Amino acid sequence: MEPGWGPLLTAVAITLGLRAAGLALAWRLPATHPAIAWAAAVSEAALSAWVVLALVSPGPWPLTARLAGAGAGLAVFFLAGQRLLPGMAAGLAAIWAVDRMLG
Amino acid sequence: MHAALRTGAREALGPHTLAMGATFIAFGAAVRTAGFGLGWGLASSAGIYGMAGQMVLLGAAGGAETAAVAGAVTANARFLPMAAALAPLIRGPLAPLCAPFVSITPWTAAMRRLPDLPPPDRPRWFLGFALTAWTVGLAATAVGYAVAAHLSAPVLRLLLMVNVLYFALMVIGGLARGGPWRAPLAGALAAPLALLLPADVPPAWGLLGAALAGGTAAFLLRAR
Repeated sequence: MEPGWGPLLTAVAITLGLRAAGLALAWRLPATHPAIAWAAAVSEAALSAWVVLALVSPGPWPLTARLAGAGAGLAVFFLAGQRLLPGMAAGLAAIWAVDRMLG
Repeated sequence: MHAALRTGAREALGPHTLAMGATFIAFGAAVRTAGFGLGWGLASSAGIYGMAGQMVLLGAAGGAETAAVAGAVTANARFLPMAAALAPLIRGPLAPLCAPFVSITPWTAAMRRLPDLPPPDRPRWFLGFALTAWTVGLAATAVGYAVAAHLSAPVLRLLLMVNVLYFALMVIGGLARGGPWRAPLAGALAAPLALLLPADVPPAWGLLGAALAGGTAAFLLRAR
């Protein structure tokens, strides 16, 4: 087996298990049960932590360009009535433009 | 084909699936950049079908398999409460078939749309929507993988930012719509702690620690 397939298949199995467990738990536990609330909180935190780390960790674009892209993307997202595509396009354009300006 | 299944499939071909497709194109390109094969990328999109976890799992290329799996599962752990919230709307013999497709795009649409449909039509609508979105995701992964070899380095680097912007907008959009705020905020505040780890510790461990610290803190504050 090529490297990477073991982790992938493990993650696939666990992820499917999470979904199945969610459906099964809903027959036994109320949606407000502490275990479900904790899992929801950790997953929400994981997503926002991933976004922040992707924005501030050393990466393929200068930090200034990434932050400018996030700012421009958010601004256009709200100006366009919370539409994702215009926000993403503006963010990518800003990253590109700021990187060019920084030379 | 059942009318509800067809309606779901038709409604899936909207702006959200287009945005989701863009992230899968970016993912396909990232798979190639990370040194994995097309089969690996397609299996990831088909089996995990949760972009945050898929992106984290790319860290397995750096030799941090356990941390990458833990980070990927944690990043997609929201599927458990999402499935629990969806379950009452899709009760019946088709519910188990819906399980693999519980992810952000179909779930968000389903929670908005299903209450307006007759109960017998709900699981069929969800399957029509989710199967269409899932198919778009697979096709987009293949497109991203294929075009990655023909794109310039700056464009490839730009594609890596598509998912970051997509999820940043999803998180902020959720906050703006009055969704839960403690956990996203706590996760964001805990994230820089990961940067304090020694350089030889794989980044996936930092993400996992930030998620557990931030999420648990948010949960405890919520419980007070």
